[in-house]
Amino acid sequence: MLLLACLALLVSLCLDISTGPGDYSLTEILAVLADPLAHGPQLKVVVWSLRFPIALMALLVGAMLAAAGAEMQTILNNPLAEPFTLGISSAAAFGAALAIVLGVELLPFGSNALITINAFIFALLTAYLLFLFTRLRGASTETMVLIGIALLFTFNALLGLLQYAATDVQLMQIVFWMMGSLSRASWEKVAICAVVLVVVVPFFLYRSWSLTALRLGDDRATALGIDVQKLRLHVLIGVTILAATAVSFVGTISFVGLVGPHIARLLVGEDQRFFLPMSIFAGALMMSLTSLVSKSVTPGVIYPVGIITSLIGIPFFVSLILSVRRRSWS
Amino acid sequence: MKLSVTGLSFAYPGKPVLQAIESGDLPSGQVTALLGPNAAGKSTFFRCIAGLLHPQSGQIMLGDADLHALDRAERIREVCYMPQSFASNAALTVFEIVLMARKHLRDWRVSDDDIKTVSTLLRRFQIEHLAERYIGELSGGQQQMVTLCQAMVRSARLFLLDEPTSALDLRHQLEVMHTLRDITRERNTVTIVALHDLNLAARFADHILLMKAGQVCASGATEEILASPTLAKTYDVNIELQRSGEGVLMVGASL
Repeated sequence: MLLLACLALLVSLCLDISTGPGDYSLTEILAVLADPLAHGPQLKVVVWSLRFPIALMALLVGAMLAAAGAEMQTILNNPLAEPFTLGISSAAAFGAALAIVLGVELLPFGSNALITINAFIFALLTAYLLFLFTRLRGASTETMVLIGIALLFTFNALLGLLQYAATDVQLMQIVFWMMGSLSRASWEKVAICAVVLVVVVPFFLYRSWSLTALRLGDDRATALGIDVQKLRLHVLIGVTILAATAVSFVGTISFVGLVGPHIARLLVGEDQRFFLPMSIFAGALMMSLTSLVSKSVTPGVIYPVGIITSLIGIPFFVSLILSVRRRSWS
Repeated sequence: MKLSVTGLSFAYPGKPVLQAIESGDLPSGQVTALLGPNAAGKSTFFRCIAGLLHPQSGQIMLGDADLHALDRAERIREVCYMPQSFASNAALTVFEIVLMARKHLRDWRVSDDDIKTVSTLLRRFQIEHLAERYIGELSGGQQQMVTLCQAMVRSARLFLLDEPTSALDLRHQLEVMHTLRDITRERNTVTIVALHDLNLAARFADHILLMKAGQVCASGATEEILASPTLAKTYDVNIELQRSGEGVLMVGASL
């Protein structure tokens, strides 16, 4: 299963790199991947500076969102949870919009990085607010979900306010940012995403028995010796870092974080030792295929991936639900 | 080895629950039934012993070990508490659920020994045919049996089982209590089972601990407690005690 998933990812990655504006064949692309200068400097730039980082970014973002979604669903004991349930994405969108409209800088960096950094900081800030509230009331699933929803609506309202005040050009920029796009990928961002994944996922795996046990309910998990509240907060920190990084680099990409884990659950169940890796593979594969589709629907046009994920993801997901009889969560 | 709880008091802020509990000696190798009306504090008592709640005062001795002195991990190894809740909708198989308790949430590798232990236990409780089924697909009674297996797979010295038979049919109640008694004898553990069915207690318990309103009203051998007027007073009913043809006590209750 694992080998098959790796193979699927590799194939998808190669196909993803080989499609796009400009007519290059798969063999040419593969040759350039093996030896950068095989077909001259122009193709080297196209493959190594543009397509390869974008394709890798798709894989990494998909993996991050799915890992975050899988653990969010686990700690909140809720099938609808995804990284953005608790207002993390709307906070990031608000941060980005704030940077676009007001030019407000939280950190003194260049203007392009500003939007990214602002989005990241607001996403983290939201998670911190959530911590403060759970400190007061205890980290039960109900408290976390309710406060998360309150934060979600708060930031949506603030975002609306900003959009109302924005000029036409700014408004377009905000909308485009929120659609989610991989075109902002670069090698630095790929490296940052990879590092975040390499740090956070092993931590989740290390706690995998405990996370599996959490699905039996707080009472039984506690009886097995798990400090449920602490586990929730630790995992929430990991989820936030994953989601905030992803969303600040590529904008809002919904659905992957929700569907990736569901596909994994249908395939291997919820033993975290298999569930988490499978979620990551499903998410990465989904994003990679989405990136592929976004380029090949209309030649020469790259659609925002955020739109495509939902459009191709939903029919696939519904067919999966209908074809598999097992029903958990019901 | 024996369990003895002395002077155990616990209160939620502004609401005392347990008041100076004295359990007497609860010997190992015997099944103790914890009886008492609803809201007597039975579950709170269990939680205090298991270390999930922190009592304001009192001492809990298991053999020579003072349970309060143990750290969290050690205490979890010594004491196995099975809460009342057993419903779950997780996409986890019965085997996985029992296995995870066996692994004590540590160590990724699953050895042949682990697998053998789990399947032996499932066979013993006669639910091995459910091993590969998801817990969410099972009936309430089956889920409760799984929860019980999840508790009994652990190698604790003290088992605290909170109403393990509440969802079971008559035959399974008898089978489960029978198996629990056998396991208690084999492993020489202290086993305390909270029950509502006095007849199950009469048939399977060696010892009875009777609680009401956060206090222990009586502790002693089964026949002695069943025969004492305290029982009727505790439940506020009339109790009629008979002996069946095979010599087992039967409790008849009326208003």
